[in-house]
Amino acid sequence: MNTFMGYPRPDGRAGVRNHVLILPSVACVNGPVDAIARAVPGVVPLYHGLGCGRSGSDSHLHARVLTNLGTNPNVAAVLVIGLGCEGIQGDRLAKAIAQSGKPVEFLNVQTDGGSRQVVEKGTAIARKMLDDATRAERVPCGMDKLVLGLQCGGSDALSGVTANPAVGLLTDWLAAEGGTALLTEVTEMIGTAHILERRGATPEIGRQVKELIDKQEAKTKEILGERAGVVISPGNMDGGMSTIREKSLGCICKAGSGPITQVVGYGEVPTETGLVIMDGPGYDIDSMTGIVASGANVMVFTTGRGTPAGYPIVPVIKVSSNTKTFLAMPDDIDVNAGRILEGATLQDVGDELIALTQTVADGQAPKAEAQQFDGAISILCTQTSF
Amino acid sequence: MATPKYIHINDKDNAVIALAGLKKGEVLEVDGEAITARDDIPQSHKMAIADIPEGAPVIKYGEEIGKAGTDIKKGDWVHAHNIAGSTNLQKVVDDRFAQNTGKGAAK
Repeated sequence: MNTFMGYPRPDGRAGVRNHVLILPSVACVNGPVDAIARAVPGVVPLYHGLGCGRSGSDSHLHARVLTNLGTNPNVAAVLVIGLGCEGIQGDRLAKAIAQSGKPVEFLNVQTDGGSRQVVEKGTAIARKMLDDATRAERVPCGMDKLVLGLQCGGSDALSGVTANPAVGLLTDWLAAEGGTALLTEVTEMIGTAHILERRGATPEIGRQVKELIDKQEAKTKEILGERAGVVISPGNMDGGMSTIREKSLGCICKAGSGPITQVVGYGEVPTETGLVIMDGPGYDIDSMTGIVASGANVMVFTTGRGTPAGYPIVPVIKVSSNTKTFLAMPDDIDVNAGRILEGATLQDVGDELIALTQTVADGQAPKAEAQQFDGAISILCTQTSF
Repeated sequence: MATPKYIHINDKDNAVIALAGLKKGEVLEVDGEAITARDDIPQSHKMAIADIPEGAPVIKYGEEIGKAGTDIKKGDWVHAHNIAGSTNLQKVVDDRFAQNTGKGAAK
């Protein structure tokens, strides 16, 4: 089996990075979290806008997502900063993350002496965690520990012709190595339910896939009416896409050709390896959070128009569908799948992606990570706030 | 390296992607067969490489992407105008706007 140089975790997973995370349980404490992060360069603050004021289902969803962001294998240790009166209680969040076996500490602004003291105590804790994390050494880890998030955004007509099929080769390679790939963006599967259903490893998984996509299509119909199944955006149509199924077929190329082994909820950690479908939205930034909470340790992001978006704890490899975008955004795109239009084969680009994914897993930073293009994260909300 | 003029994604596909676009009358050799473009085909749009009768599937990625809304001839530009039920989101938005404002109602 091929290996990468990573960081094994007590829960059996392995990271490709060794971050110390400063995690606010609620947006109200983003300030103290920021102060700790500025005092201890090298730790990663995970600013978000949630943690309170949400109805039951979103509250449960967000508790799961925040917990699983903390348990992500790229995270070595977590300092949870709570407020005290928030919906998602910091102490419970810290306990839930600690079940993964990694070091977790917790401070509460309302009961641990207020912001200044929490920042002082938190700075000392964060510094100690960072010292410990810095001492950890990479060891060979089986490729079965690699969990690849599949993302596309700012797609164009070539995304489904060059970049996504090349990523599909990467997905097939990783599945054959025993690893995991996470396909999501269910809105971009509309029209392909019958195709993806056939790819279920069992009839039951196939049924779950179909149900997931049908549900999304029904939701879209509520907004767009009966034409939801045939409607695509003006930009897509100008680019040569004629139907939503054509667009979706181009999107799901990222998933290669193997069987679907499991369907999981947004930010839920799969128990199976291979190709897993995660229930997530089309909006890139929400989607990426779900992918990371579901345990991705590397992400590959295809784009037609180009985007600088990275993610705080997971390296994101950018793949452009065309050379024009590759040249227009030289500091953002790692791989140019547009060279397929200049004579390279799909396999050439697939091989480039397979090689780069392994070096990124070993520690090399792709462009978005090298420039720390992350910052605030966004988490899916299905309902309004109170 | 030579720049290919088209991509035939899957052997089953009855339409190919004109990577740089094609002028009406331009001849494209697809899998050994010379096919003449019967329309101007914009960049990255599709050209039929077989006759597709009305109601028959238009195939790309080896799968049906829609049904021919009219008889499509080999060499035709294949897009919203000849695929049944294909709708541009802009039209939906325009129609809804027209319904909501009572102005410029779409016929």
